[in-house]
Amino acid sequence: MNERISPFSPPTPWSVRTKRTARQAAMKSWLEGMVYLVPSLLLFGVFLFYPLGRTMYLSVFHTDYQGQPTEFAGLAHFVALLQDASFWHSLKATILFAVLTVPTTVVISFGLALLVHERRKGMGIFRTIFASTMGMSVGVASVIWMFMYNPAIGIINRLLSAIGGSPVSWLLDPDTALYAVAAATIWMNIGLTFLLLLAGLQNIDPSLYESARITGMSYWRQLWTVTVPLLSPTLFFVTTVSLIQALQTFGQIDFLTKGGPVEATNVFVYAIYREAFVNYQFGSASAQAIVLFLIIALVTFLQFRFAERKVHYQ
Amino acid sequence: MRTARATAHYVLLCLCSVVILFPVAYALLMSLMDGAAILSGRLWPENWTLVNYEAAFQQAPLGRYLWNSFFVAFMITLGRLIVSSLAAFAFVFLRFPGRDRWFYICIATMLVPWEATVIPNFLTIQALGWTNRYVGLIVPFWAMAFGIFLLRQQFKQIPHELYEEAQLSGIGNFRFFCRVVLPLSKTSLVTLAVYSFLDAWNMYLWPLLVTNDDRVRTVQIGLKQLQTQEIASSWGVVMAAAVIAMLPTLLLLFAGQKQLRKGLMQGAIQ
Amino acid sequence: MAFLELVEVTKSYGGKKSAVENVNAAIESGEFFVLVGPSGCGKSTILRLIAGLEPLTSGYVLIDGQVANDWPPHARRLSMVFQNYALYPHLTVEQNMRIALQAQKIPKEEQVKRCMEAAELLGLTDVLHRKPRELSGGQRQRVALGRAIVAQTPLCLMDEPLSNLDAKLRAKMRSELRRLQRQLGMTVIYVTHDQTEAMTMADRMMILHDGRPQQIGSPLDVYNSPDNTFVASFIGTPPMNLAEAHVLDHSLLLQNERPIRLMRRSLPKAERVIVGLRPEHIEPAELGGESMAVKVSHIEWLGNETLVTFELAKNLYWTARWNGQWRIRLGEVVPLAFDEQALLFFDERGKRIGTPSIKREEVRIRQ
Repeated sequence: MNERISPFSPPTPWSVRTKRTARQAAMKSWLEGMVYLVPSLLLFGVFLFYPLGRTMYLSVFHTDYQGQPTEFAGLAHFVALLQDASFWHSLKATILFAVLTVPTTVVISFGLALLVHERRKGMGIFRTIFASTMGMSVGVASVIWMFMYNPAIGIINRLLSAIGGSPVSWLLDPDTALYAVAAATIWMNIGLTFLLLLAGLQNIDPSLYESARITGMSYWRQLWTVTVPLLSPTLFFVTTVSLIQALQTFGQIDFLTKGGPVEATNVFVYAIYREAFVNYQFGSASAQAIVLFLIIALVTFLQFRFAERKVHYQ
Repeated sequence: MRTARATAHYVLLCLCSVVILFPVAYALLMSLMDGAAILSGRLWPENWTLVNYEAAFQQAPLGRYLWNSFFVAFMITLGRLIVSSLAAFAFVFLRFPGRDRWFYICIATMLVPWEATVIPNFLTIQALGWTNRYVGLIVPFWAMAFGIFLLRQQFKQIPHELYEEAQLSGIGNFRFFCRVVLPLSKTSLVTLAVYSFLDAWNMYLWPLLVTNDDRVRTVQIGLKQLQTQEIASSWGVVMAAAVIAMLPTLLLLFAGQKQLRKGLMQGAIQ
Repeated sequence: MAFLELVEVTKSYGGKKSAVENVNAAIESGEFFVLVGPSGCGKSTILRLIAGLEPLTSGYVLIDGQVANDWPPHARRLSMVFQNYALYPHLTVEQNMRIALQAQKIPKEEQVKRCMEAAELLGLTDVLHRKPRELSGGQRQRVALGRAIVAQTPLCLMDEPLSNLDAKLRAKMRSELRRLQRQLGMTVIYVTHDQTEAMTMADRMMILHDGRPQQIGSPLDVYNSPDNTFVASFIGTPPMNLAEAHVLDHSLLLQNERPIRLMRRSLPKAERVIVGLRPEHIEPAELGGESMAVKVSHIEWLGNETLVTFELAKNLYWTARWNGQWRIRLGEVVPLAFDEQALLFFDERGKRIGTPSIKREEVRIRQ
């Protein structure tokens, strides 16, 4: 049932008006939206998409010292890479470095997060202490650890000799260098990982623990049946972030070992840096950069897919 | 039983703290000893001295490096906040054709590691004549997918009715953005600011490539210089410089730790 | 000419069924017009279409006789009170009321003046410098109202503005809102799912169901003379009693089971109908005569009146509303009489047959 309304005559046929005004309105809203997006899109275009494309382009060219492409190389750089022992060596070093740092960082940080995620006095202080390494820049952390690793006067060898061991040239020995850098890296990365995991723990509904306590679950059982499953998205996220970070390691290497000794710590990004900015082989370095991009894109993509499924699952 | 558990807990916490804090404490102690004491391998200074700090400022333009780092990190942070919040605002509140497509493009940038683009970026900066200038250290880092993503999550929490009310009463989009959206998103903005500042302060590869002049060099590169020059001879000076270089970020972290913890989670896990 | 007109207003979101279809209405200046219906009936959508927050699929919105379809929201000169009030949480009450005026570049003295007047009117003078979270639900509601008042727009849209208040405050605010609206001469379009709210507040109301308008009229018109079974059962608590019936000579057979003899009422010509009767038209009777004996299945004592539910036929429960307190036991058999003149007839599809049975004059006398 409807109401009678006063007669009126619309100015122009409705369909004509809607189409035109709708187009105008869409144009106006598009323009306004783009005003807000232009800074981001422009910057992404100039400093991300263009260079990514350029890297791909350079990777199939020979280049001169200025980085200008001279001669089409096709897949020659990639083929050369695959046949190059030092490429495989650097890939191996990177993977070993990731394996050494990522699980250790996550496990230690998780432990620390569990320790402070209790309702006791003074947790704020410990929280601050454990997060503090996040405030350590790569330069600061590196020089401190370098000194600690010093074979003659560093604290580590002092302690070693105090308990009767023989001194080790931590950063100069190909067998120990990567492990030494990994230890420093773990220390550096604990802060952020800890902070993220703690935030994840604090997001868990406390009533779940209350109900677990009522049923008389022990601490360890609660950990396995409540904490770990509910924290798994965060754990996964933190692991992938650490993994990506490990694959991009550069600063510590440049400070502590410069990729040596005998390429023992020549991880991926350091190898790219050397190839491009020491050897001026921009084409070949670009090919390596593309490989890095593909690996990291794959890891990130998997993280997104997994996270998406997790969200639906919850 | 209860107190025993509590004691064990605190003992464990203290042990962990000692391990975590040890390198920092070690650096601090070394920086307060003279060269002979360091070489003798002492852990606790016999004579407390500030000579290393004086030396650090004399031997290298440490003050300049610190200022450069501060300025660069501050400008990167400010730029990121502006650029990211504008984009996030468009993605949340404005309706326009192609919006979602642009969003996916922005998110896709997370797939690209900065290192994979560093070679052409270096060439671009060279071509623009931005080497050895602040602008070359700052501008490339303004756009940031994580920032857009984090702020978008935050903006989505703002009730849409507020936006509709603004539209009805003739409050324009930009005014709404400045007067309502930004003030309501303080936590996330602070989170992003702290994170960005730490990130920018920590930057190493890029300043290494685009600066070779003390006037614009950041403190990270300064440390590297100092370390290469001073090796073996005066570790105390290097440690003093390290202590000074860690102070700003440590203070920032202490101040912003809580916000960071709350805000990062919001962006990381939906 | 009406102040606001909706002409064949339709909105669809691309699905098969449109959210709002073919709505026509003419709202006069100073009117309190209520859109009422169950949730999901499209009433809020209509409001948003009027406000310009969403574009129409087809039809026209006319403001002061001009087609306003393409006007942006702020050009329509209307204000809106949202269900959750949409107060800016970081601004004080005063700032909340003034932010829109600032955007419109109204002089500062004028802003302050309007703000003070509204605060005075709403009893908010003491809380002008507080933030929304420091206010009670009722105060927040008033601030939202205050914002609409200071805007001094001729039209105010209200989307379930009272539904976040507790029952007692809600009842109080109903009359307060009406008083204010009359005092300020505002035109209000008010959306609610609560038929009591609609009945008690509206000058006129539109009942909506599934995006389609069912009836427009004053509360009493709609109550006494519903156009279809949906309106009949939606308006009034307890709702109108309905039953399918066969039409026989001088009697109805409810659900093939319960015959009712009608002495003073002519019957519709259809074979099958739906009959409706308001609870207050079922009266207690003496045994014998024209009364009907039914078994009581549920009783509610409300103090001033008693609701008696009885099983009229298998699975057909009707409710009667009697004044006073009746001591009846469950399962007791009681005699009843129906007010034949009050019986309403609907066809099998639920549409009303025939003319209103209660004449206007009669209504006035009862008032």
